[in-house]
Amino acid sequence: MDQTVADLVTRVLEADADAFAQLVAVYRPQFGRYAYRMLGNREDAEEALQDTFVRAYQAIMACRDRARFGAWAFTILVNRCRTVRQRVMRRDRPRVFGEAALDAAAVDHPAERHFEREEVNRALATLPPDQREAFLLKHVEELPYDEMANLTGSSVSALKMRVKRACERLRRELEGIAHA
Amino acid sequence: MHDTAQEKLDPRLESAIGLLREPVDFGPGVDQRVLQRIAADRAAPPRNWFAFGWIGGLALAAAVGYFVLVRDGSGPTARSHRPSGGEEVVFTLTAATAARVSVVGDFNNWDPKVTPLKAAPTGGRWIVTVKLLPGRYRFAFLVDGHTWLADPDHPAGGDPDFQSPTSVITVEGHSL
Repeated sequence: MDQTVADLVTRVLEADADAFAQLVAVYRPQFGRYAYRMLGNREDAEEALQDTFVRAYQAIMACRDRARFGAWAFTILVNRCRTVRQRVMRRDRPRVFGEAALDAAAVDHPAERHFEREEVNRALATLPPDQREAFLLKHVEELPYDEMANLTGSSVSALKMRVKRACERLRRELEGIAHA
Repeated sequence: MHDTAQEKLDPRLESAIGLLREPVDFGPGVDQRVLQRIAADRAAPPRNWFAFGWIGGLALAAAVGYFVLVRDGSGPTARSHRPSGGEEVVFTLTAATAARVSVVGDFNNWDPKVTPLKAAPTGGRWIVTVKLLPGRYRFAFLVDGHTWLADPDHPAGGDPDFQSPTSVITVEGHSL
């Protein structure tokens, strides 16, 4: 995988446009999921996703370890999501959870599962952004804390605290939903 | 990839995490839209050169910014000053052992092929003059295609996206 990714990056640097299309295909599912969970709606998530790949393409010379293109580009994604979220907050656009992406997924699942999915997204949306970011990186993207620190610029101890608080809050939110 | 000391999670939370790990469907064509945007960016003329013909006359009054990098025994270091604002910026680098040098930045879409520096006959100096519209630009030098240099005496780019050092130049405008 890493060798393949490194080869693709090398080919991009040699002006092979198809190679970047392959990188997009490899990383878009993970990046798209993170952006969607972080921003809460598909439109903003796709904007962050597009910004990320455009910037990664423009600055690919700065990717020193070609085999770790994904981790490098993920840093861009984390920052783009922060930027998009701040802009969304400024324009006070409501976040819409349970939109088409979830509806599409629900086709393959029973209605009860779909409801549960919506409630999980609603609970996630109650987290402060820094806690949501840390929680997603840790438990959804399954990154180790040292890599999270590298991605976010925060210390490992601060990230552990955010994850802990996020878990506590999510647990409370989900219990509240269960007892409602 | 995983931390060894994994926290034991509440079953309800574990179930929620399982749902959050499900793939998200962005609908058909999302990859294509990404690639189309990249292609559009590449097709567009670098935006800061685009209008220069219109504003070219003003460049006669432009001041010049100087960026000078010097190399010491421990590796490249940099110092810079820009006496006044303007539309022409001269980038110079002293790097006697370099085979090629370019400046990359917001003004050339970070493309190392767009703004190569030319080697001076002696002294290991490289130089290029770039005409810029008023604005704020991040930039860096790229030596031999792999060494990414910013100017530590100049404001840092402040954009952590690239994980490589960048600096910032602000080109002042002229009143019409």
